[in-house]
Amino acid sequence: MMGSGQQSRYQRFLEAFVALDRRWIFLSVGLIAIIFMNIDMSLPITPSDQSTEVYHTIESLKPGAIVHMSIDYGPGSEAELWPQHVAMLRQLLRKGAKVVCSSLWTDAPPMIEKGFETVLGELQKEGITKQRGVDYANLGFKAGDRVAIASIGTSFRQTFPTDSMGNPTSQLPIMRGWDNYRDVDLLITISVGDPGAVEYVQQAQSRYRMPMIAGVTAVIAPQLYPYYQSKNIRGFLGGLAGAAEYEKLVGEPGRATKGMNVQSAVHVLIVLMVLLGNIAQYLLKRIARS
Amino acid sequence: MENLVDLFGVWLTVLLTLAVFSFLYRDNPVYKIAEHLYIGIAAGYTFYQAFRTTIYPNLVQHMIDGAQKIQAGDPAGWQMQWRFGAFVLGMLMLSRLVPSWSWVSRWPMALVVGAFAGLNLIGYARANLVDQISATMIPLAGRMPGVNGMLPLLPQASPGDSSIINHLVLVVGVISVLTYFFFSKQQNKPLRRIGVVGIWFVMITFGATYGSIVLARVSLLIGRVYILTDANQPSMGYPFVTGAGLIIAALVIWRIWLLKPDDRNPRG
Repeated sequence: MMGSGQQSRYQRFLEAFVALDRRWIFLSVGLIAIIFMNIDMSLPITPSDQSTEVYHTIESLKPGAIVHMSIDYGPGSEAELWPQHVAMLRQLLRKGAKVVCSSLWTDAPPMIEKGFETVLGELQKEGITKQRGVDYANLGFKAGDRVAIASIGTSFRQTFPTDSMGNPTSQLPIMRGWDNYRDVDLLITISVGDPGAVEYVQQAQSRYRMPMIAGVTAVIAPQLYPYYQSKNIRGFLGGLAGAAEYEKLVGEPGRATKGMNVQSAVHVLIVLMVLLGNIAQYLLKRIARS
Repeated sequence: MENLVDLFGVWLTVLLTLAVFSFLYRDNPVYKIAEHLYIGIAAGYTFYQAFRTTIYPNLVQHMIDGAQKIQAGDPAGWQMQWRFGAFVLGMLMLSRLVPSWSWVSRWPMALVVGAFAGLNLIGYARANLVDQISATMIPLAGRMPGVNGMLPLLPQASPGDSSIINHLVLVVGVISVLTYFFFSKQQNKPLRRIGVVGIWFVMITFGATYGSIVLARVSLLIGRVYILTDANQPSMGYPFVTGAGLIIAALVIWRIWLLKPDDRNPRG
C-alpha cells in the first residue's frame, strides 16, 4: 500500500512519461542507430519468396540478354535502394547481360553513373571488363512519367535520341537489333514512388507481358503484393529488408545486412515505447478511477 | 585540388544533413538555410535535366535534323516538323503568366489531362482490373496450370507452393471488402456482418502499410547515419563531431540572443 505522497510521486512520474517530449524519442532513436551501426552482430535473415524470385529471374538470364533497368530514385532514398541497385547490377553484369539504364526521376542519372562506377570497379578486380555502349548504357533522364513509359515501350531510340553522354542512341552497339519492350528480356525498376514500379506494371508489363522484377522502398512494397500475386511482376525487393535478403541470396552481406541490425534495434525501441505508453495510460486511468 | 573539392563536398554534406536534423529540435534559421538551398538547387537542377535530356534532344535537335533533311531535299524532314506543335502547346502554358490570357493555357492542359486519362485507363484496366480479377479466380483445391500449386498437404505439392489458407484468406478478403464497399443495396444483418470482416481486412492492410512506412523512415535515418559516420574521418577533420558542435552552438546562440522571448516555447 502506497502512501499519498508516494502515490502522487508515482502518478507524477506516469503523467510525465505519457507527456514525454517527442524529441527525447528522436534522440534515443538517433543514439541507437549510431550505437548499433558500430556493433558487430548478425541476426538471422530468411529470404522471402519474392526476393528469391528476383534472384532466380536474374540468374536464369542467358549471356547477351537485353535488360532495361529503370533507376527511379535519388540520393534521398539511397539507404534503401542503393544496396538493391548495386546487388542486382553486379549479378546482371556477371551473368553477361546487356544492361540499358534510364530514369524517370531527375535526380537519378548520377545514381546510374555511380552504380556503374562502383560495380565496374569491383568486376575489374575480378578480371571482368565491360565497355560503355557495348555491354551497358546510360540513356539518362526522360520527362513525361507514364507517357514516357508508354513511349519507351514503343521505341527506345525515338524516346532517347541520345544517351547521357550525348552519343546518338541508334549508333550504340548495345542498341543494335532491338528497339522496344517486345525485344527486352527483362525489365527492372528500382523506384521510390510515382512514377515507378506500379506505373511500369500498368504502362509496360501489362501491355507487352515481358518479365519484370522490381526493387522498391518499404513504403511502396505493400502496393506490389497484388501484382506479385497476379504474376505481373515475378518478384520484388521491399526496402532495406528486401536488400538484406538479396545480399544473403547472392552470398555477399553488405550495408543492408548491417542496416537490419539497426532496424531491429529501433523497432524494439518503438514497440517498447508503444507498450510502456499504453501501460502508463492504463495505470493512470486506474489511479483516476480509484 | 581534387582533394580540396572532396573535402568541401563532405563538409557540405555533413553540415546540411545536420542542419536538416536540427528541425527535430524546432524550426530554426539553420534548418531554413538548408531548406531554401535545397529547393533552389532542386528547381534549377530539374530544369537543367529536363532541358538537356528531353527538350533539347526530343524537340530542338529533332527539328534541326528535320530542317537539314528539308535543305538536302529529303521530304521526310517535313514529317519531323510536327513536333513544332508540341513547342506551340508548351508556349501556350506560359500564358498563365498573363492573367487576361491565362484561359489559353487550358488547351494544352486539356490535351495533357486527356492523354493522361487515356493512358491510365488502359493501364488500370489491364493491370488493376483484368489481371487482378483473373488472379483472384483460384481453385481452393487441386491444381490449375499457370497458378502455384494448391494444397501443400497433397503429396504432389512442392515446398514452395502457396497454401489453401492463403487462398481462403484471399477469397474471404476480396468478398468481404467488396461487400463493405457495396452501397447499392441497404445492408441487412448478414451483409453487415460480412462487411465487418471486410473492415478488419482493410485495417490489417493499413497496419501493414503503416509498419512499412516506419521501416522506410528508419532506413532513411540509417542512410544518413552511414553518411555521417563514414565522413567522420581524421583526415577530413571529423566533420560529424565538429559539424554537430557548430550546429548546436548556432542553435544555442539563436535561442539565447536572437529568439524573441514570446517564441521560446520549449515544446515548439
